[in-house]
Amino acid sequence: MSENNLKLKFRELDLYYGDFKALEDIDLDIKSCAITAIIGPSGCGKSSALRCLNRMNDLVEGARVKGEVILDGENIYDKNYNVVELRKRVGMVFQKPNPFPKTIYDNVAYGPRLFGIKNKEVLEGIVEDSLKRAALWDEVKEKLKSSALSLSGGQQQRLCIARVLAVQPEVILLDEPCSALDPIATQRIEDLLSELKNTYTIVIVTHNMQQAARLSDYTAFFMIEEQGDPGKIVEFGETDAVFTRPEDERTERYITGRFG
Amino acid sequence: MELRKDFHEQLDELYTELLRMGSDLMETIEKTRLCFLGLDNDMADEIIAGDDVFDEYRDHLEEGGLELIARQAPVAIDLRLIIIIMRIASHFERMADLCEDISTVVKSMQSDQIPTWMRDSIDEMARRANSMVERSIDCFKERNLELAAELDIMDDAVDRLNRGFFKEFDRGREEELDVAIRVIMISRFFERIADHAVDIGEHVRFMVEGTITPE
Amino acid sequence: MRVDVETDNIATGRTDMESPQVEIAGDTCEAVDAGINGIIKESIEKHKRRTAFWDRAATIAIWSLAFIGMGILFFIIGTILWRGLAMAIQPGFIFGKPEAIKEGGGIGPMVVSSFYLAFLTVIIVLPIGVGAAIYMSEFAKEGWATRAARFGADSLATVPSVIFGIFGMVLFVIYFGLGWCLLAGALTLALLNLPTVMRTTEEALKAVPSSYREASMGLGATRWETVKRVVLPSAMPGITTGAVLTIGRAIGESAVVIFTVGIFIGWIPRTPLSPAAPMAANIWHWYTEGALKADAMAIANGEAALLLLVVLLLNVAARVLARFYQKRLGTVR
Repeated sequence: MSENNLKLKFRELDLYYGDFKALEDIDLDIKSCAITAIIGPSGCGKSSALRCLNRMNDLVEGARVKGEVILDGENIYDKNYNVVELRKRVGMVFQKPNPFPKTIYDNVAYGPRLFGIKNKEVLEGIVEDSLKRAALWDEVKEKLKSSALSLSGGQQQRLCIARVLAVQPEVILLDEPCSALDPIATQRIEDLLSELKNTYTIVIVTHNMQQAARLSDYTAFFMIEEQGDPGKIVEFGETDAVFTRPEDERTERYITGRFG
Repeated sequence: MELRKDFHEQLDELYTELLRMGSDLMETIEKTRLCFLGLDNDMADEIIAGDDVFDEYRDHLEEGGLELIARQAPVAIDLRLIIIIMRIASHFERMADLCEDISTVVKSMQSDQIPTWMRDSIDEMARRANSMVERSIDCFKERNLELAAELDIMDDAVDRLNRGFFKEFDRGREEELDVAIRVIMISRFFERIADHAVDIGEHVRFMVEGTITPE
Repeated sequence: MRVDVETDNIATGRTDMESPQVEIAGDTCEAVDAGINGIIKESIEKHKRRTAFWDRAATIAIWSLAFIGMGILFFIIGTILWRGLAMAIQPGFIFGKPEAIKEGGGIGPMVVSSFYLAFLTVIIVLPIGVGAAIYMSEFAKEGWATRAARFGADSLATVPSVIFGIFGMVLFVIYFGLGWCLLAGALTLALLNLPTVMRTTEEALKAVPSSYREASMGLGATRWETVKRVVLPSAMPGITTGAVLTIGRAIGESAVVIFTVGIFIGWIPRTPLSPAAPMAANIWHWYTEGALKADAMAIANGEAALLLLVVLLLNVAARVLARFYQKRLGTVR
C-alpha cells in the first residue's frame, strides 16, 4: 500500500491490561477514504485494537501500550500528543446507541460547544449540516428540541454519527454499530457509511461477516490461539480477495464458518 | 465443534450427486462406443432416450447450487466449489448430448460397411475420451492439478486421431464417401467430449488456486 | 497457490449419530417421553392446589399490613391536623408575633427561623457533600482512601442526633463562641446531613450510564467537562432529592436545634448569628415549659399542624422537581 494515502497505521503494537497481554505485534495499515473492517471471533481483541486508535483505552485502569499508532505521520502515543485533539480528529460510534439525555439539537451541538463555539447561527449551521450528512435531517428537522431518547434505535445511532461528524473528524471508528439494530436500520447505516467513506476514513469492528463482506474495502482478520493468548492479525487484504480466496487457512476456516 | 451442519450436508449431497452424474456419464460413453462398434440400433435408442436423465441431473445441480448461494452466502472455497459443480454439471450434460448425437448418426449407418481402420480409430478415441472423463473426475475428487495437466496431454492424442481421419480421407475412395462423412462426424463428437474433459480440469484449477486466470 | 483445506466435510463417509430414545406422540412432530411427562403433569396438578392457597394467604397478609401501615399514618396525620389545623391556617397565627405569657399570639419568627435554618444548612452542606461525592465517584481512584471516606460517612450517619446536638453546642456555640444562633445550628445540621447528601449524590452519579461518559470523552471532552456537561445534569433528579431531603430534615430536626439554636424567640431573626427558634424546637418548648401560657397547648398543636403541612408540601415539591428533571432528560415522558 503506497505511503501517501495511509491515514492510520499500527506499528508493532502490544496492548496490556495490567499483566494480561491483549494484543501482540499488531501491524496494520488503514487506508484513507476507505472502509477497513476488523473481524474475528469474540475475545480476539478487535474492540481493544479499535480503541487504541483514539486512545480510549487510556480510560481503562492499568492499560498500557508498547509500539506506535501513527496518524498522518505522528505517533499518537507520544507523551506530548494532545489527546483532546486526537479525539476530535478520530471520532467513535459505540455498539449501543448512546445519545445524551438532552435534546437532539444539544446532542449534535455538544462537540462544537465543547470547543468553544457559542454563536447561535454557526451552531445551527453545524447541526443542520451534520444531521444532513448523517441522513437524519429530514426525519428530525421539525423536532430538534425534543429529547434524543424519543428516537428509535436506528435513528439514535445515526444521531450518534451526526454528533461525531459535528466536530469535523477525519477518521470515524465504529464498534459493532449495528448489532443492537434491526435489519432495516442496519442497512440504512451501511448505506450511510458507504457514502461517508468518500469523505472520511472509516474503521469498523464487526462480528457480522456478511456485513464486512458487503461494506468494507479492506478486511483484517484477528484471532487468538487459545483462551488467554494475545490477539494477533492473521490476515489483511482487499475484502474481495479475503472472501473469495483467503491466503491463510485459519481465515478460510473462520469465514466459511468451520469454527466459531 | 461442528458448525453449519445443514450447509455442509447440502453441499455434500450436491457433491455426491455430481459424482453420480459423472459415473453415469462414463457408462453412457462406454455404451456409445459399443453401440458404434456393433451398429446396434436398439442400444442407440436407449442412449437417445437416456439423455433426459442428464438434463435432469444438470437442472437439479443448478438449482441446488443456486439455492446454496442465495441462502447460505458461501465464501472462499465453498463458493468456488459450488460454482465449479454447476459448471461441471453443464459440461457433463453437453457430453451426454454428444453421446446422443453419436447414437443418432449410428442409427443412420445400419447397413454400412465400415473399414476396419476407421472402426479401430473410433474405438481408440472412444476409449481415450472415456479415460479422460475418468481422469477429470479423479482430478475433481482429489483436487490434483497434476491430473489436470495430464488431461492436456491426453487431449493431444485424441486430436491427432481426429485429424488422422482427414489425412486418410484425402487419399479418396469415392465409394466410402457416405460412410466416411458419418464416421468423421462421430470422430468430431468424441473429440469434443475430450475437450470438455480438459475444461473440467481447468475448473478444478480455478477452485484450487482461486484465480480466474492461472498465476 | 494451493489452499489445503480439510476435505473431511466434503468427502463421503460421515459417522452416523444415534437418535435419542423418544416416543413419537401421534402424527405430530413432537417427541414426548411419556414417563417423565406424566410425572410432570401430576406434579403440576398437586402444585396448583397448594400454591393457590399460599398465593391467597400471602395476598391477604400483605394487603393487611399495607392497610395497617397506611392506617397508622393517616391516624397520626389526622390527629395532628384535627387538633391544630384550624389554628395553623390563620394568617395571624402564621405571621404573628408570639406571646410568651399572655394568651394568643402567633409563631411568625418560628416559621422564619425554620426556613432560614434550612436555607443555611443547604448552602453549607450541598457544596461540600456534592463536591465530595463528585470527586470520589468521578475522579479519585478506588483505594483505601475512598473506602475510608465512605466508611467514615456511613458511620457518621448512625450517630444519634442528640449527640450531634451536644457536639455542635460544645464546638460551635461554646468553643468557637458563636453562641446560640442559626449558624451554629446550620453547621451542626450540615454535619448531620453530610452522609445523606454524599450518599444520594453518589448513587445519582453512579446511576448515570457510563456510556454517556464514554461518548463525551470520545468527542474530546476532559473528565471535568464531562462531569459538568453530562454527568451532573443527568444526576440532577437524584441530587435534588438529596437536597430536598436535607431541607426536610433541617425543618423537622429538634434535638440538634435545641442544643444549638434556641427554643423561643420573640422577634424575627435577622442574621445567621442571631438566636432563633425553629418550629420543631419551639413545639417542644411549649409542651414542656409552656405552663405559664394558658393556651400553650393550642399554640403547640397549631404549630405542629403547620409543620406537618410544610413537610408534606416539601415532599410533594421534591417529587415534582424530580419529575421535571426527568422530563427534561427524556427519561420519562
